[in-house]
Amino acid sequence: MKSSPNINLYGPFAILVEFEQKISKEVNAQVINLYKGLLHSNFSHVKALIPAYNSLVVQYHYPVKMNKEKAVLLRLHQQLYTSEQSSKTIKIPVCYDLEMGLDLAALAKVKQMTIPEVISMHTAEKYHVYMLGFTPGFPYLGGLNEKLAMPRKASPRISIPKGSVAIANEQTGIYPTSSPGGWQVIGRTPVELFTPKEKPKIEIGDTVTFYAISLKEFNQLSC
Amino acid sequence: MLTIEVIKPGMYTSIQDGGRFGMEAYGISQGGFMDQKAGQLANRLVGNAPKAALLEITGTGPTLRFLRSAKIAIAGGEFCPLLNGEKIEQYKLLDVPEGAILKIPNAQRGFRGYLAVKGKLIADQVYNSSSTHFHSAFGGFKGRTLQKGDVLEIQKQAVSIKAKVSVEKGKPRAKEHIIALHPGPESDTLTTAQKMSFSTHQFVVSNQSNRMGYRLSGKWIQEKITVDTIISSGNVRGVVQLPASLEPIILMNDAGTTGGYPRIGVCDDPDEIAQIKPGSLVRFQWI
Repeated sequence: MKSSPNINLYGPFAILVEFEQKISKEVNAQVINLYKGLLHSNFSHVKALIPAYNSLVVQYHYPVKMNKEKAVLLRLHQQLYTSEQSSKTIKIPVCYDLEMGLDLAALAKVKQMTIPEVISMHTAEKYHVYMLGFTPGFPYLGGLNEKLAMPRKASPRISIPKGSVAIANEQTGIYPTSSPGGWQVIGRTPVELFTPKEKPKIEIGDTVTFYAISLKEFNQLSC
Repeated sequence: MLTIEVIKPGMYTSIQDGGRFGMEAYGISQGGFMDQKAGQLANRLVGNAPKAALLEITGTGPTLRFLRSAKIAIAGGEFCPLLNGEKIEQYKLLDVPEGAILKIPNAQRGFRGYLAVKGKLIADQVYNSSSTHFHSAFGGFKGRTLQKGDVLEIQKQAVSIKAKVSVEKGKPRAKEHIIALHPGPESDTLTTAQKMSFSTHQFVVSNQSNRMGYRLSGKWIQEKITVDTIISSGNVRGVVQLPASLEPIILMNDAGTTGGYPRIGVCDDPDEIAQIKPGSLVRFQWI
């Protein structure tokens, strides 16, 4: 299964490292290993790193010397390919009350399930954080039970409330701040996922689990 | 402490610096001077560190009252600024007397200006940057653009950085802007003929363009093609996305860190894009 990533120039100042074109934990692990390897190497000419599902963007302070950088990236990839991931598990309380789960009733109806069935299915899984993006601290979580998979809404909401837990296709995610968005909202967490100046709670490679709380508990926790 | 009062805020005036780096993996965009060269030039002219915080001006500049004397410089686009009603020069160090009013009108050439004041502009520092992250409302001045009545504070700096400054003024006004374009990761979404068509057609810069990106409109292709989205992947400043509408978007400093549209090109010099005014005509040229 060991294969070399594609390493190509991405404009004059960046390189795009692409692994296998699929969404899988194994592929994402290779992204994370290379990302962390570069972070620890602390190269002074590396300006920024953007890890994603199956790719890593490396931005440089200077125009890229392709042969040299490609060799560095390949060497790091080979060294780190099998390294163990150290990641943490974050337990997120979610209120699945219909007042918060704006699309929960509609989703249950489409899926021909009861609302408690949807909740128990959503809280049963361990979700892998493939990447953060879209807005600060927004985690893209994989591992959703395919029975809950639901496409984005045909027209996005102008504002999705902060803390909303939502579904898009086979992904689930959490809106750390209120923002426009097209995901199907099934609940809301009182937990602050993103506070400027603080280290964001969730990192790429982490595991997220959800547990249900009542509206009363939600109100207590959000105070 | 030097204080500056905002009499008129201008169209979109915000505190920016060299940018916010190292937080991309958390979905936090880099921000910073849209025209890096011009922002750094303004700072150098007053003896500040090149990436220090300053005011980025967009389209129409602010009117400011200096409650103490100051040394300033304005770089970037040409705005014909007025100090107490008299024309002043850009791209050089200027003395502003106590109580003076600086008026920066509409951009005559270019679109963004950079006003540096000698000293340390007090701003909200978030993740090692003073840049205003407008969409998440943090950094800079209360995480937002300037408003009438705001008061900015500048700390005098004992040491000033002496650097040889070479001034490169704005390019002459052109009927259309030519944007030099490198191939992007998904260039091959387009056939050779389609790439040719993409670079021979003219686009209009939409009024919806902002610090996140420049939206371009223009029917550059007659045939119906469908472009598939990609697995979300990292964006760089100046990348050209092609959404299903087939109207390209040039992503700039405040764009999301990742995206799912095919990236057909990367602009050679994003600083030049920052100086293009909405409504302008642009054409791409493959490198």
